[in-house]
Amino acid sequence: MNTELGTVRKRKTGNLTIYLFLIAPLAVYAIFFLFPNLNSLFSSFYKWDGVAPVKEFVGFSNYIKMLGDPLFWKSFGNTIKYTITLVAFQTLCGLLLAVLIFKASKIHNFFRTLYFMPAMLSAVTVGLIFGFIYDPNMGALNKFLEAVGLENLTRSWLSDENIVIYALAFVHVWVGIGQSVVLFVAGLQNIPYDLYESARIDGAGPWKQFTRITMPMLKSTTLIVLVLTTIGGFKCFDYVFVMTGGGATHSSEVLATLLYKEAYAYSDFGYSAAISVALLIIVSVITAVQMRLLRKDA
Amino acid sequence: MLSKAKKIPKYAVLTIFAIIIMFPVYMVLTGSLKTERELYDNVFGLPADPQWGNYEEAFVGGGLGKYYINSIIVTGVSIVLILVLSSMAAFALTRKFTKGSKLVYLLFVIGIAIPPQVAIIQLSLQMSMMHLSNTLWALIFSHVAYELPFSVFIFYGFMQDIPYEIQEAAIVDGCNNFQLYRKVIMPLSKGPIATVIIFNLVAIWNDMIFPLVLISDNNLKTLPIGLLQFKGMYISQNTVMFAGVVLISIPLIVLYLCLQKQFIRGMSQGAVKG
Amino acid sequence: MKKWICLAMVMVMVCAALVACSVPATPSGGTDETAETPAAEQPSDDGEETEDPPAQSGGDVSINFITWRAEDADVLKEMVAMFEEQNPGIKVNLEITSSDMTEYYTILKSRLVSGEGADIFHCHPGAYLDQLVEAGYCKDLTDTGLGELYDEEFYDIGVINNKLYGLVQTYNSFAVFYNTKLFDELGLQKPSSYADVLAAAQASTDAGYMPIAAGFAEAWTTGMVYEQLMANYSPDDDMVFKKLEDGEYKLSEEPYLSVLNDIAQMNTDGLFQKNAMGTKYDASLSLFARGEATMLITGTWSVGGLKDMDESLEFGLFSLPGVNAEAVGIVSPSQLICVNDKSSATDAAMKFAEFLSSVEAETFYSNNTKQAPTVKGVEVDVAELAEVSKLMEGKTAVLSDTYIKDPVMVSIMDEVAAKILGGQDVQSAAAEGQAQIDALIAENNG
Repeated sequence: MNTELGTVRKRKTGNLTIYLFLIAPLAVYAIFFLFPNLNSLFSSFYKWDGVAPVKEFVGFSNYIKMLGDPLFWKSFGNTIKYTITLVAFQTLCGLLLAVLIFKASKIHNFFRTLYFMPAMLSAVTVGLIFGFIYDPNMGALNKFLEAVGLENLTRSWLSDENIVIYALAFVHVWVGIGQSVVLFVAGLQNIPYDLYESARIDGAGPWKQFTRITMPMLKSTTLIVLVLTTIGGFKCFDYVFVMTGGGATHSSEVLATLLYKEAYAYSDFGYSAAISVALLIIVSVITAVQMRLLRKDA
Repeated sequence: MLSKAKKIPKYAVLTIFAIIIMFPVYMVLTGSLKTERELYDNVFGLPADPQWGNYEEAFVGGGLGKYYINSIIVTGVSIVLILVLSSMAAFALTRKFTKGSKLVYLLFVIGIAIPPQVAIIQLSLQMSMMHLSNTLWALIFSHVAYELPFSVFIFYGFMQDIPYEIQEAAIVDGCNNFQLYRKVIMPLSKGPIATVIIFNLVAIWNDMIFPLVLISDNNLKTLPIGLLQFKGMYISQNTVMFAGVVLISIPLIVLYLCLQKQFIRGMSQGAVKG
Repeated sequence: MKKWICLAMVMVMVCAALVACSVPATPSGGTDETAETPAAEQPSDDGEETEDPPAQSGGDVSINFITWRAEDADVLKEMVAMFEEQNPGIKVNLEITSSDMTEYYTILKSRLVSGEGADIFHCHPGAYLDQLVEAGYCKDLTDTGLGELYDEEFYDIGVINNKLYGLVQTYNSFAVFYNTKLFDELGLQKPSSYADVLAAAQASTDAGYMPIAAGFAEAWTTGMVYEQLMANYSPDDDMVFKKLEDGEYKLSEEPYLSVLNDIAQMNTDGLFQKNAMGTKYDASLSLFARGEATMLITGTWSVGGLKDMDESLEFGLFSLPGVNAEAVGIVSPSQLICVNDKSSATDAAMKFAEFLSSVEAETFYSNNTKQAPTVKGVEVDVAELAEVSKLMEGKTAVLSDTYIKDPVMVSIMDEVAAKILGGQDVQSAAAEGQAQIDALIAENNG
């Protein structure tokens, strides 16, 4: 701790106010977030239907059930597919667009504003709109494909079990792309211009400049985008719930919809809590790994 | 300088993305002015005879008026509270006066990964124990608590990078911690403030789950719930539905267009340094 | 570290203080004195108004009535107004949630657990009622005389362990709707056998129309097919679903084998429109109402809604026959009216339940929502309901005891049906489903 400046007394009284600073946020957080969530997570050791006055202690059996439940693994797989699609498109397309429009100009600004706009819409709204676009009989997407002569590509987007999860992830990309564009633009603007200048003098081409300067300098931005989209992907609930509810036959079930259904449709709160614990652990581990990897070689 | 020929692929890419992004918006806007039949028979075109009545039906039939007021109150108050509380927490935690602060920080950020569906029954139980159920306070406190993790994360990331010398200089000048926070740190934190505002604005304005569960009084419901009720009442009246969608989304879109410079600049400053 | 313990203690105290002295008017307690802003004061008035628990007697009592029946919203609102006029001391806050069932029960349960916001509520017969009764949230209505106001055949539906807990407000039937104008145009008659249905479907497809519009994207809609077929194949065994749940029957044996084979046959025969698995239920209604499909599979609850969508739409109804079985009229009890036993306004809620059970209220409800009445002595004069009663002219089956109790069972059945409709062969779909059922039985016993 740095003690060379400031007197000891000042530091002491100062620390007191700092505790005061923490009390209000922590209290609100503890009462309205930690307490209910801990309460809920504890019920993973119980069998409870959500309304009965008594919970029955069952130890780890909810966790054991989870590990042997094909539906859990299917949802887990779907969540991974969803997240990977989301992260890949958000980072790559986001970076591509950002590279094209990071320099300050009116027209670039226009595109930036436009790309960010979908982020203002609520999930229910987005779900409704895309439910309409994906509708197999009268939806805009199939009608568009028919109009341009690609009839053989038309399909039932939200019931084809090989496609549905990607169709849903695309919706998330549609909403979130602007966010990564803006983040990357900021990252790009922070790179000192003279780095490129001297690289050019050394005879480096655009690709070399990109890999040698842009990429390394964007490490922290990439980290932020990765972490935010990964968490967003694992937590995804709204779009899936509004558009398919996890169907058809669980082909778009993700962990967040599964744990919701287990609790409220099948009244198995204990099992639902076990799934949330699993989700929490998975997200924490992946985020930690991402941070470690990117920080290390930064 | 790139030559004109070289710019063509660049603008082609930008325009394709713009079309993909704008098409659904275009569809909703035009769809909300079509008749139901036109909506299916003429998906891509403009409405032949704009049906402004759809908006009237959505606004009056959906009873959106009072929902607007509730949404504005809840969003406004929550955001003010979130700003104050999360910046205070981040300020205190970045003082690094003891090892425990890292732990408290972790306690906060772990909340980012927990979806709100997990504890919704416990939360409503909590609200009723505190006699808050069915008040706007229930919504405000839930939003504040659930948005604190992300907001603390943003502020913490930013404040951590504020050079220590600035703070020491202020302390030497006789600032106490409160003054340091008010007069030095907060004025520097415009970026994260903007980030926190914009993220929470979107999240709270559009949130569905808390008002759904915590509010039973129709006079206290918020806009997204109005939209949900619509869904049941106007089965297959997609045009009215679209009009409702436009009415609900418009305040945020307008706000965004007016403040987009601050939003985008703030977001980049805030998040990148985090 | 001592300081952190202090801090934790302060926090606990603040929490305690907040819980203890949070009178409704000052909900902010002591947590955010640093965060007071002018804006923060606004909502507290709202808090005061709605917070007061209803007074026991005298004064105004306000009760909450919660339902998912968004289709009935306008009718229910008028009924509430009628009731409030007759009972000036009672205010009813009608809350209509979305029509998604998971969402509805999320809300209902959290209201019940928190003790506020559900004094009288709608509930489905079967598993949900079981749970709520077991948890003590449903008032025992046995000796209130309310049950006797309803037709006998519906009484048992709300009975658990010989006690009455719910009143069946209306019943529905599953049916295939057919567009009479389009049928005339194609020279088709109301189908009465599977061969007829098939012929009608083919004629429709040949003429460029969709055959039976079906919204199988939502899992529950497949239930209208398999439950109908179930009843067709074993009209006299009213425990047929229960037996599957108890392990007595298997999916790979009769009568379930016929049911599943029929679903597969209907699918390959092209009875339903292309992409039925990807079509939302609402969209299927719309396809029929706009005359793109000649037929539609839904329940009689859609009668009113379809008329709303297109006043000039004319349709007839028939029950879906099995490939080798005659169609049976289905009586499917719809929502139950339940009174919250743990509410502080049970008396007022009972008054409202009495009102809903009156001939006057039920007549109004049935007439305006175009749904069949269940209260004795109610005469309804709606043309569409005559069509519904025609469905009941032959053999009928009441889906009450036959209801699958466990919602997980329902989802397994939905899934099996959906897999077959999606093209999977019957044998493997049945085997997979049976494996899930066996696992469920083992879990429930162990």
